[in-house]
Amino acid sequence: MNNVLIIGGGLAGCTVAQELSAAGLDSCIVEKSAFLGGKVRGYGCKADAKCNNCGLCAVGDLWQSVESNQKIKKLCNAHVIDIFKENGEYKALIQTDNGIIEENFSELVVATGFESPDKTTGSEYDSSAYPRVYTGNALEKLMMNRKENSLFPEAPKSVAFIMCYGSRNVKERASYCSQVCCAYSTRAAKVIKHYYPEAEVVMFYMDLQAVNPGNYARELEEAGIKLERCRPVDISFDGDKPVVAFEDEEGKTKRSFDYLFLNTGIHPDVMNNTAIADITGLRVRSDGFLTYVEQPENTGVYLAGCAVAPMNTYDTIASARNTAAMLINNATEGSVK
Amino acid sequence: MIIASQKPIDEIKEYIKDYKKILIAACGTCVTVCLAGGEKEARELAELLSLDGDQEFRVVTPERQCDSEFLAEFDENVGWADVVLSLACGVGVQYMAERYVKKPVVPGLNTSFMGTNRDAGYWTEMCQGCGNCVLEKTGGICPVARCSKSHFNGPCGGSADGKCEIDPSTDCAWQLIYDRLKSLDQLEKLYETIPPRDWSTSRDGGPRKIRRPDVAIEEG
Amino acid sequence: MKAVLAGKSNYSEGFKAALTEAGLELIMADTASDLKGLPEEMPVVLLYDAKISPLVTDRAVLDRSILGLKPHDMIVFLMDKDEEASPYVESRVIDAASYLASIKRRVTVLMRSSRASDERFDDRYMSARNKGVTFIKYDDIEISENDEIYLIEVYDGKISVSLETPLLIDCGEKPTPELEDFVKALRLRTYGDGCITGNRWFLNQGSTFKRNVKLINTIALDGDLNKVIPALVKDIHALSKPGQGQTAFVDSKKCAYCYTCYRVCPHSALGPDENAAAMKVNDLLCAACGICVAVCPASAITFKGEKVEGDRAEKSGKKLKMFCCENSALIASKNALDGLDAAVEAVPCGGDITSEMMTKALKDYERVMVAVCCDDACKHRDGNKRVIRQVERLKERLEKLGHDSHRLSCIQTGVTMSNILKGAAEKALSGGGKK
Repeated sequence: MNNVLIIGGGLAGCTVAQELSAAGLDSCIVEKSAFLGGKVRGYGCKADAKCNNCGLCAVGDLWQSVESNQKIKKLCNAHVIDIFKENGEYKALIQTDNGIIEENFSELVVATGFESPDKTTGSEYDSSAYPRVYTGNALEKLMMNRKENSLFPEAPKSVAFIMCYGSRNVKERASYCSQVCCAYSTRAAKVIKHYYPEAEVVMFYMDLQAVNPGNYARELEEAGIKLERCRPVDISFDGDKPVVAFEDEEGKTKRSFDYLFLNTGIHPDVMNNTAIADITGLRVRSDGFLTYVEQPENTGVYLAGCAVAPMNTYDTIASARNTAAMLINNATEGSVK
Repeated sequence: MIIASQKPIDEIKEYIKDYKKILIAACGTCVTVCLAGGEKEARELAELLSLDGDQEFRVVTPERQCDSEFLAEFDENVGWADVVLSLACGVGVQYMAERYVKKPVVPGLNTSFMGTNRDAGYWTEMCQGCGNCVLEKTGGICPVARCSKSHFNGPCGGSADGKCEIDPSTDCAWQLIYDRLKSLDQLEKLYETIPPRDWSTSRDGGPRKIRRPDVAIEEG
Repeated sequence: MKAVLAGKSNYSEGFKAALTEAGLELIMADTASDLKGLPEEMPVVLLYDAKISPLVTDRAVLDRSILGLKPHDMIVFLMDKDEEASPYVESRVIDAASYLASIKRRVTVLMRSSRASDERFDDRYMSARNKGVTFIKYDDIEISENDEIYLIEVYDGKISVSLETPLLIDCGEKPTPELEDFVKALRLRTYGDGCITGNRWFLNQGSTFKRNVKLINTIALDGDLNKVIPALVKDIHALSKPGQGQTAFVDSKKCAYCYTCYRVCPHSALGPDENAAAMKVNDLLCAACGICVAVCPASAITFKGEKVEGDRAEKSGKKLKMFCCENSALIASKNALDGLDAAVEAVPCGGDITSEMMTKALKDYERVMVAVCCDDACKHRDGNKRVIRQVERLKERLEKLGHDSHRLSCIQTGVTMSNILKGAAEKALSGGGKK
């Protein structure tokens, strides 16, 4: 019997399910929220005058396809309570809307993704309380709801981005680089410039990933985006307008902006990951992400997507496809437990 | 290959405006290849011209309109029509007109030149059918068709940076000839003067005929 | 299952072993001429080969190169100059720099950014710094040479730093010329600056427009072949069957052998069939995009088993007909057009839409809109741009005939731009045209 339990119904989880289904294997997605799609379903295309390679086209109509696929069992508003190994199979106890169910699986895929980027480090700038501050999710919503001639409720005169907010700082949240923020925020900045050519768009950065080949910094400057190499010291508010304190050539200074974007990064849900690692035999690394203890071909427990490390859309899809390929391989050869 | 392009659509409309039943005759050879008058263009035209709704259109695609055997199968359709809009080159239009004596045959294309498809959507003139080919003397590049002034013995004074003074996007043929002969190591051919030409072998001598008695079919 | 392993790279041995172990019978092709005679549809794993300075990869070469230097001479490793260095190069550079520092040389590594997200790299940077390696991040750089001494000015947005070095090691990866030969021999369609650097990776990483050619940058994998081997092998096995349920089909009697489809096909799926003096579709390469059907001047291509034109423009009683590309506009249209007086027809690619289809639609509907992917986003290279040009041509002709060309419009959207699509549909319905 080949029945795969996929914990997490986001991009990685749904991609694995779809690949398995195409190969004739059964799977069951357990998703803690009410809908499939995870973070990516809320992302918006970042084309300005042309495509900027944000990767959403690769996702395509994945969600609708998985939702309408009868062969993939989907349990939303559900989570896995415990998993036992019994006779070479995994018995999972799943809490659903209709009580606790028990089901047997031949393999497990952990595709639990990352924590909501709206939870920031230090000060909590939830966009509902601070409407002029956009963190990860809120930025994507903006892109998704774009109209032909407007992005924001009011046209801005100035917009600022703070890169590496919550990453690459051992004291705060994470020492690592979140991999995706340079790409998505510079693309969003290009879109903003496209809609509001007169607006001043400033990006406070430490380093700049090479998102496109060649001198990306120059490419952005030619698009009219101002790059300020510094790490802002403080964020305060003048009324509801965000004020950023930073240091430039002349010394310490403060500026207010109409809108402020914080690149909050990709961070693991450490509590969730610890619980998952407990019941699946995986391990939580020092940076909070999940990793294998033993080879998945031996244990039947696989990982996919951002549960492993920060990844962008393409890499997540590639990781999920790879995991699915390993599962399909094992299924055709006969599972080894 | 014969290269042609479609006439402006308002001109075509003008030709057929007084008729009710129009047969659009595409051609499956040269004009298909140069994207001017093949079946696809014919069907497109039929849709476009019938937008008004007060005319009836049919489309046929003979393999060629310059051989009568290919036309025979369309006699019935021609019979139905009030006018034939031929999308063949000038040869095909005339051949149809000859065959269907009582039926008006109007052209949908402007036949332009004998040439080549350099790139998708780009055709250039290569040969003018002058009837007396000198390509051996010019390294395979035709001074008649590709030099704007049809000079026979070198460029005019306007050749600059390899481009023609008449049209700066046209290569100077004599620059091309020189470069080619140089790469063939045959530059001394340039010293052989090509004498003034007898243009009667070209169109200037009147409509031309070619006869090959050895392959003629004798009747009777 | 046979597959070609094309190109050489530092990792071809490891790759070869892994692929063979996974059950593939490998045919080696070191140069493009080794491809001669192989079937067009044979799977090809094309190693994105790169030349890296041996000063980075070879300890012995590095040792020899520092022989003539004085102990206090600065040695400079230059990374990320033209493109971001891959993890492989990055780790080799840190190794080489650490080694030099440990033998008491002065070493500086110039880089545009650091790419750390796991423990491994952070440790290595820290340990290199502890040994005495200097890391300098730069945005702009100017290099001049004077009598075999390099003068380097780096600028990081705020300050500039000057360095002098007799040994400047360029750590860039340069594609080998053999790669160009392979691109030509394999008839890989390129887009913009070429399929390798401008790789349309949203088609699936490692893919090109040609179904049977998989691109692998083994350098970037840094030895972690397991990241790609299972999916790659699965994809190769899948190549033995046609990718789509449908494929295009050429009627050899109508085909004018004009090579138009051959040139236009983004997937290199059309080729000459000498026996028939016509074009033939390679079922294993055809992506069923439909562009050849639209482009053929002799209307000689159809989809097997299905009439492409004719059944499409059925009257639905609606006011607006929208042709939506299934890769972008169709997805954006779900739920966006509820309640609007519009009928949606899906097409595999904008490039399928012909003038004939649009004109037929204008007879049955008051307004017609063509909704396709944004520039550079077309999954079939430039089907989107092709149809936009057709729309422009048709509008000109409509005007010349005295019809209202504003009844026809077109729009480019992304997968999630529902609001924009909705706005455009509302505008078209209210009488204004978008273009």
